[in-house]
Amino acid sequence: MKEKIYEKVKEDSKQAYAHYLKAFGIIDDEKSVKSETPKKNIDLMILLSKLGLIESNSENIEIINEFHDYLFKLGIEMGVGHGKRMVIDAIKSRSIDFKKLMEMNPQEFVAYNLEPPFIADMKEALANEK
Amino acid sequence: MKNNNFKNRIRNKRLREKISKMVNSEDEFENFKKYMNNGISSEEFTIIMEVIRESRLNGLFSDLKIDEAKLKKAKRKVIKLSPESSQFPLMSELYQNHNGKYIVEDLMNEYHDSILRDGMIIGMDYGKKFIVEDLQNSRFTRKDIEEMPTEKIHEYCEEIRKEI
Repeated sequence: MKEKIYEKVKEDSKQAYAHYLKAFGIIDDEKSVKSETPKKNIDLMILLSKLGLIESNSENIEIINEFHDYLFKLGIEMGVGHGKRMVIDAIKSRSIDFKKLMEMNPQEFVAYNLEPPFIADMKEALANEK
Repeated sequence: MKNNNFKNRIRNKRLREKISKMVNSEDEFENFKKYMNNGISSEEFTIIMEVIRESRLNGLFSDLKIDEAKLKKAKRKVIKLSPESSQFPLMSELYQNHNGKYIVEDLMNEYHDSILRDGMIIGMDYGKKFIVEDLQNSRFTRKDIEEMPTEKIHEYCEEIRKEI
């Protein structure tokens, strides 16, 4: 029974993750998502239930799923402004080839290496936290 | 050197209080987003992550009706995870660096930060795509961007077209 619940959560959250990527035009095909992200809410569920802090039931899964979704959206909201700012800063500092930018497909540009100090800092901060 | 450390501690304490106020109040949360969009340092980013983590995880544990005393005790526990365990994909990511042993609180923090980070990465990609489309659709020109006042940059950075 538990395994069935976990499988369902895994599938539901994978679809939600893929949905965001597609909705934002970052990918064309939802089926191409193979991220490990969807499994994370199951991790917490297993951890908390193994520690005897919660019961592994559908009500608690619902709460954890909602939290996962909220946090994910919060991250997106926090990230959007930074993404735009990265491009604005790059244009202002002329560190980007503007002509090339205008010719680029927006999806190609997502993959374009554009790392202002903040992003490098963020990666460093996350690495230091570990 | 000692004086600098003291100044840094005071500065970080004030910064933490300021960020905490913005993150924990619904009215102030919009200001928090503006603050983020203004560009932040790695120090600020670390504090923001810590404040958000503390406030949101506490909210989750309260929703799950977890006993506070039990939770406090559990957070300090060191647990060993089997590397073969396929049920812990996130945690096994860290396995090699921790000889299989983890402090429970670290695992909870890792869970929180990794989801927020995944969201931020998608958000940043979307933001990059968003502005390139606007430029290509002539919503504004290079000159407009170069001369855009700070307040306008904030407004623009907050704009999200898709319903999330």
